[in-house]
Amino acid sequence: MSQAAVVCGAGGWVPPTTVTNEDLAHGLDTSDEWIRTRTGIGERRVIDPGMATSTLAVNAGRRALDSAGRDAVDAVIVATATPDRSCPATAPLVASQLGLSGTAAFDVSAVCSGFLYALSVGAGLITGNGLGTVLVIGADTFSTILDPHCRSTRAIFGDGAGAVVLRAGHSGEPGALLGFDLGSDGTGMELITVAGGGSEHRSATTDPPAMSPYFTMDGKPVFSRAVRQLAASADTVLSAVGWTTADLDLLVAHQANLRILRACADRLNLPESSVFVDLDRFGNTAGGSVPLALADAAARGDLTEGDHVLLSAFGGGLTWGSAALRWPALDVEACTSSDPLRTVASSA
Amino acid sequence: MTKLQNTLCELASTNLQVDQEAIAEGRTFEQLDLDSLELIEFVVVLENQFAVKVADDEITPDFTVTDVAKLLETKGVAS
Repeated sequence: MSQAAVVCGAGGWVPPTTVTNEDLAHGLDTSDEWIRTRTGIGERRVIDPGMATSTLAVNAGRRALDSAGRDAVDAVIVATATPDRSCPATAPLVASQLGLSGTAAFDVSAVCSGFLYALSVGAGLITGNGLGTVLVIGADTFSTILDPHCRSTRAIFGDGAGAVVLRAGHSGEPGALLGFDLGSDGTGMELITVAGGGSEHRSATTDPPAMSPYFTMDGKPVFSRAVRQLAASADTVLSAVGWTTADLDLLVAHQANLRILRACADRLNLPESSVFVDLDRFGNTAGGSVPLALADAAARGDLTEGDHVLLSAFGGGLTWGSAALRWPALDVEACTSSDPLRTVASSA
Repeated sequence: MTKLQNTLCELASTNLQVDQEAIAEGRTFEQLDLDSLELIEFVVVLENQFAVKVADDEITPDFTVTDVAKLLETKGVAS
């Protein structure tokens, strides 16, 4: 058996404030039926004033550390597209708020695929750089970048975070990360973007530069690319680790949209019962989506020791990624309980 | 109706929740009130079912099930 990074803790956290479809229908031209039919989403969580992405990351990270029975790690990685600030990275603040000042900490940016990228980097720090433990967090607060008048994006996205703790181990153990697939296609950059606010915007020669500060997504090509690429990436990892879809107990994929998940399952010849869904309660939480779903599945008893699990995501960039593991025996707290709640202000 | 057209009616009915008779009557996808994402969903279903490649813009809102059958036949699917 070869050396491997092993998942030894998991946790998820969503902010306490819920926005239902009915709430959105009060201010936008939409309805519960319209949103549920097109997305499968019933409600989503959003941060309150005073919270930021680090708030979610700290709470999810704390739960993952508790699940692992650890109070220290050798590195903290935060995957996010909505950092607290464009500079510095969010991870050092998160590490300090977790009582881990001095620990290596950095962000990874790959939008909705970010957690898969961060997980791969964390695994590499263990297997290639000799670190003992790494906390990998996916966290996003898309409510802060959505156009308040856009019914489609406001219906889809919510705020949330999830995290896992990795430790050094071997490939035969439950929890071992057995294989990854990562990829990108920058020619699709415009399909999922926040055009304004970056260096391209700041150096623009037009006055004023016509670059939206809000998140935009071109739904039709994104749907098409997401279904095809999620399935292709999943197939790649399954082949790499010697599994077939018949071996899979649970696909924990990016909670983009129920129609994408169903189409992806169909393409993989996977029964819908093998596809975990929590977007009905949390919406699409971007980089938080996969680890939040993983922790949620474990907390709800949908994952048991030894289960063959495939993680898969597709997102802005364009980027995509997948990973395979056998689930370990873990105690994972429910993602919706609001305790502990640490805001940026109260924990700084 | 050909066997392929019947299969397409069943697939559209099952996957897009539209009335099978309305499809069989020759209504276009636009007349069936399918949105652009639903057309893409149907493209994905067709790719899975018939093991062919179909570009997103090959099936348009003005297509009927007969048009889809013709397209698939050009890709080697038996009628």
